[in-house]
Amino acid sequence: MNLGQSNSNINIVFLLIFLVVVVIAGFVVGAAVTPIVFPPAAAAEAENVDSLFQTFLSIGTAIFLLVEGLLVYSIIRYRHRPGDDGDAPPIHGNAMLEIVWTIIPALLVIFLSLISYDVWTRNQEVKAQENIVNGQEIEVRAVAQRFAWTFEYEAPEMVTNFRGEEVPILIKDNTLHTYVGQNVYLTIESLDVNHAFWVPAMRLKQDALPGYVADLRFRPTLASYEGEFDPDPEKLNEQSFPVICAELCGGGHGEMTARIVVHPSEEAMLSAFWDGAVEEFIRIAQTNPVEAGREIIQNYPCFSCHTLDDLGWTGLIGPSLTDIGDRADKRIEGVSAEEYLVRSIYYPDEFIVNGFQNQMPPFRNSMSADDLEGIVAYLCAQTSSGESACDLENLTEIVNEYR
Amino acid sequence: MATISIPLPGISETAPRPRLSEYFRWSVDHKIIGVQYMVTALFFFLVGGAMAMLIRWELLTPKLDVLDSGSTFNAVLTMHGSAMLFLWIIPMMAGLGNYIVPLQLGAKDMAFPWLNAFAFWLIPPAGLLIIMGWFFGPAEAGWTAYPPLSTMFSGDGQTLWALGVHLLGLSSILGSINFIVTIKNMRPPSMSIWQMPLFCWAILATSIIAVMATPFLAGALTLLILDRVAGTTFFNPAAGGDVLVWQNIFWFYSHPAVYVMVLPSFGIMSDVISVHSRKPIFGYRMIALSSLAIALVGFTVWAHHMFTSLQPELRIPFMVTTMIIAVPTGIKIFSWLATVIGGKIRLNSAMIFALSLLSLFLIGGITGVMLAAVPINIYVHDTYFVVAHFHFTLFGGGVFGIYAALYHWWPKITGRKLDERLGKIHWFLTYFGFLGTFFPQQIVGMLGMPRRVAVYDPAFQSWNVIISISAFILGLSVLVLIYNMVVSTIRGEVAGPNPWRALTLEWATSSPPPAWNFDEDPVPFEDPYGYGTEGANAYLSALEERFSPPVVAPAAETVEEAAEEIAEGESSQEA
Repeated sequence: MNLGQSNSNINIVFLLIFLVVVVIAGFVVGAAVTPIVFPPAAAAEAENVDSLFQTFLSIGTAIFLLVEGLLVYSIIRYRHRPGDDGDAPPIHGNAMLEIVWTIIPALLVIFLSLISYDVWTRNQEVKAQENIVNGQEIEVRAVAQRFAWTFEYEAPEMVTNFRGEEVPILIKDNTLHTYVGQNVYLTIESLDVNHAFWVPAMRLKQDALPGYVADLRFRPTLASYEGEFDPDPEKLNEQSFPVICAELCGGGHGEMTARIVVHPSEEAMLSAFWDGAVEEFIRIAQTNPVEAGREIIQNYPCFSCHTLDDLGWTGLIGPSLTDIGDRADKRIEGVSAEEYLVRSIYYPDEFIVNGFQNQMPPFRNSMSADDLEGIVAYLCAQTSSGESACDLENLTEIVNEYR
Repeated sequence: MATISIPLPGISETAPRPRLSEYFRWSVDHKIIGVQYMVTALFFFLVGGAMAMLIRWELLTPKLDVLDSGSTFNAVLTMHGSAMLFLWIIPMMAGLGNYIVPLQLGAKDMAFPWLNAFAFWLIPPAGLLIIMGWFFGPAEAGWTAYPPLSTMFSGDGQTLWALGVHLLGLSSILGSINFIVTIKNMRPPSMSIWQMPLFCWAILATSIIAVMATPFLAGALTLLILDRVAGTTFFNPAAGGDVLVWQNIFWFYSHPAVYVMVLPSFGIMSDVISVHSRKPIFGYRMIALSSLAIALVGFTVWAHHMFTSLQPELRIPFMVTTMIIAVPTGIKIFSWLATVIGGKIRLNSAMIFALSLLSLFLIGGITGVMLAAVPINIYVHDTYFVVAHFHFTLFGGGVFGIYAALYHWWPKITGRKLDERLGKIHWFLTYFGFLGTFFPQQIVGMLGMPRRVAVYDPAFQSWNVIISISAFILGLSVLVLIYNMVVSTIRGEVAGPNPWRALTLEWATSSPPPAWNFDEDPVPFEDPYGYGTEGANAYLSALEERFSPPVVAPAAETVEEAAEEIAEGESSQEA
């Protein structure tokens, strides 16, 4: 191997020693740095990714040290000496060497592709017994919209609501709850623009695209808290891992975060979250719609823009909702109070008062028919007399018409 | 024994610099156009740099406090990315190519001088459209402009942005056609394609990519504009559209486009490293072919930008093609290294920037292979790790190459060298400012900081303070360069035609070259990088002879002497 001015066996020996040192250093750096630069691994999938990264980092560091070492060496060794105005020896290449540095990297990337493929298939694996809660499989959906995450849990068991209808248990929460050992299967969707569901602790990310339903699987191995779960919202951060939106979605992109709580056991999740949430759902489903609506409307951010004395809201951006029932039937000729309210929530730009611009997002994608029914029933009852201004018999029909 | 090629004997006068007013007019001289490109690009470099400073100022704290809203932050980063990619690197490379390629080919001008001027004059209005967008509801969807954010939410500035980028794409296509035709047809008869300088090879590969890929950008932008202004629904899923269509078409252009940004830099590297090591480039053919290989394989990797949105079963094939592209890139890095080893390295500013490129692009290459691996990519996608990666490739690989080119070719363009002392200060601030900015970004990205956020987890603040301060140093370094350019152009060291004793043809004419570049058709040396041979020394001495001003002796005598010397050189070669 002749690259330059000298070609002695000593150089080859030094090069070999340097190669060995560089490879050892690469593996030392890989092992030392990997645990520092990752947040704690909280899933089996995360451990696979970490060890894959460690391999890449070790090989990468070895190549880095090899090239930088030779570069620094040659800058020192072969720098121009004053007074020496000659040129270097005219060496144009070395076919053997060029073949070697084509073949070795090629073999290396084939190897790296294979181990990456292996980790990828293991992490993608479909598992039996997914999302088991109380011995039954539930559905878990992550729904993105500007700029918040909603997690929907749908259990197969039915409950009877106040009208005597059978409805599935559907729980909505801004926090994702799971437990150590659960085979989590999430579907991910978006109501508006592109978002990305990212849980650094699980090393997983999936874009939420409008028009697509994507999915994600993982099995938590590390609880996000020890001992008892404290329901105080202020303590949530220290008892959970972050969920981050990773795809630019607008002005509030940086604030679009949520939390994932990994409970240490299924029992812990049942007592800290599930049982209470189910109870609450059943209670609301069985209360009369006006009272249920009063609870439901507080799950939505209406308060930030509207005034409503009954709930102590003081928002000033949108029209006041105090005694809205008195006005709802008179606002638009030929439109009943209940229809007016339904359309105003699903299509907020439809009945704008002259001189104003619509500021409200349409809720037709993000508010279920049941929620809307409850909210409209509650708003209809906001009258000075306290009596409902609407004919609630037709409400379901109207809601379905405008969905 | 190879034959020696030498320049024709005779004395050439140094041409005066073109008048300043020529740069503000329509001109079909490739040298004027080249400078017009470069000055325009430098202006947008400063605009993009100012935006970067604003971004880093905002990110000193985890809360939103400098800018009035997250949307403004997004508008600033959209402007930063668009200016740096579309209005700085691509036009700057086109400008360097315009100035240098015809000279290296010994040609009088580009193949289509009028088209050349037209391609340049598309850039100022395009830049104006993009900047004007700021005042009409700024574009806030990032330089990637993913719908539906760019169709449903961004202001009218997004439409102007799309129109501006459309014009830039057109300019790029026209410029590239011109390069391909020039390189194919205007070489001297004695220069085969395998004797062409590697910078021309790189521009050829770049132009092939630009001609093949840019029409796709035009297509995507047309759909975007129609969705925004004509009520079509190509990207609206509620009406049967598909948001992934944009991502596919956009990256089918934009991934090859990153090679449009770095391949010319690789060409610069090969020229600069060989000249200042005084040693032939190692493995000429492999370097030339690896440019073409990168250009070709570069068309098969686009979906690695979409590993978190693409259908899962399509991710693995794109991982493999992406990994493969590391091989030709590695060939280049090893070849440059082997060129340097055993050389006689002149550590002037051009060479220091070139060697820095080697050391920094290497990091970008290594993180590139990590990013190719689907499981790792899924973790670091859209984090600061990616931000660090593409700055290591596009700043470390692209801008460092541009800097090396400026120090290397400035004497040819202006007739005067850039100041070496200022050059070293510029290098010091750039290199360490760069490392301080982008190395910690890799770590903070791994730790979990997403990109494109104005508000971040306070746990990352100390990293961000380090990054921001380093970025300010990096910003300062550009001012040193600008100062150096101004001062050295006025009273820098007079360079003479061939200050680096280089063999490529741009040095075989006066600095700056006269109108039509050469007094008569120049004769290229048989090997553009044949340093260290007697033939090369004879060639260089003959060149020197030709351009040294006649002292007392009349011209005819000097010619005789030159001829004698050539004869001597020939006989000693024979022996």
